[in-house]
Amino acid sequence: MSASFYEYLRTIQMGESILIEYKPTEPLHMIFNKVLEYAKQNNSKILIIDILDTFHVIKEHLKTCNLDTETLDKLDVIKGGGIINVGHVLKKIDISKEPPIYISEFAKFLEEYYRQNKNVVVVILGADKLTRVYLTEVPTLEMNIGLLLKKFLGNPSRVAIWFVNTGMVPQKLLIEWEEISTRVLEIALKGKKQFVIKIKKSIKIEDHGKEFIVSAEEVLYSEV
Amino acid sequence: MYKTLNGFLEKIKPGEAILVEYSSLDHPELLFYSITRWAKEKEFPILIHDILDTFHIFLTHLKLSGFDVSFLEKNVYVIKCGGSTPIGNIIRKARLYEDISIYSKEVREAQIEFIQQAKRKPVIVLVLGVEKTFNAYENQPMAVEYFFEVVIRKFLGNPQRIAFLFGNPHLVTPEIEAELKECMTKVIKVHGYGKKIRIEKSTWLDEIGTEVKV
Repeated sequence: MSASFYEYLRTIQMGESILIEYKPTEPLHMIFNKVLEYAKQNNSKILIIDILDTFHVIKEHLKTCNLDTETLDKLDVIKGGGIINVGHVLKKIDISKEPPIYISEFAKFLEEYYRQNKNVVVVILGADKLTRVYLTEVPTLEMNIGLLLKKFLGNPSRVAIWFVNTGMVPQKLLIEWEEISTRVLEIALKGKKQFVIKIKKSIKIEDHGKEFIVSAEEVLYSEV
Repeated sequence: MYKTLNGFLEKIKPGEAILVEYSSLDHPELLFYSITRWAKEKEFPILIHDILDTFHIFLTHLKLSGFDVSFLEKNVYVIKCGGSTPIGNIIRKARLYEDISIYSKEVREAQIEFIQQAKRKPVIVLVLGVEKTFNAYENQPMAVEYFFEVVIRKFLGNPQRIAFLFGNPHLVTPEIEAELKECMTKVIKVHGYGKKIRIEKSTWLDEIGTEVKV
């Protein structure tokens, strides 16, 4: 990672909720890998919230590049819906129930997890799909994941990183989501081998609008 | 880096799912034809999901352009999903407008069975008219999600097949398009009305932006 982006990441404090926005054609698997790298460098305990098999999609995408997926299999995972187990699955939550029900199940699990584990980086994959499924209701964030977002915001045991495919989420909902988040990062591929990471929102106002270029080189598929 | 379509096809790994995007004024059947010719040369079994007669539309356009499609009429296997014009060796009819769980089950079972019996792998699966499945369940987001879950994402990574999904993205909602593209290992877009393709997304970053002639 570039030195300045790494310096920026080191300013993240426990209790923060970070939103990572990407478009559907962006290489999600690589962005995820970078986030894992950050968590490991932090010596954090990693917890994956895997909604509707998004973790499986990322793992398969990494496999097509001949990238290592063994570390993924060892990570703690709590599943929301989906049928494919990836990682060390601690609990499965049924998301076909009413949102208030499954939200409270998530909350209960997380409360306990944060009691037993400190310095956690929780990575939430596929929450954007949750918002889509209940779109027949009034599509506010409050209806589904808003409660979760707000409940743990500020909890010093963890940093939460939410991945959002902006194509899947209506603008109004995205705006609410950005409002609750302490930081909003927009990630896009620039050319073929670099990411541009734009800081849309940050704790320090001076960081707003900053852009970092991060090389994708070290995770590149090499031609054999 | 490869310079031809066959070069691109050779690089695809078993388990990948590739979306082919085109618009109503394009000729995606040219790419379809080239892929099936490549599969035939390699002796990979070809399985077609024919949704609402899209296979018939593709074949008719090809015939009118002077292509020899006899092997497509005789040597490919078909899961027929709705529609009324039967072509190819139909191994199963899947009821598109029934309950989504019935439709999904029929599609899954037919595919699994075919893959198990196939003498050579990977099986090349071509889904024609993928947007039509989504439109059939447009007002039921949970049904669409269910289909993603038990068919599209479930088969992703299955090393016994490679799937090409042909679809006109203008016919689905942006959210469904976004969810589909996220899941795909590659997204290619038809250019020059069908004469070229451009790689818009790939898990292999190097090939993004590459154009090849069909």
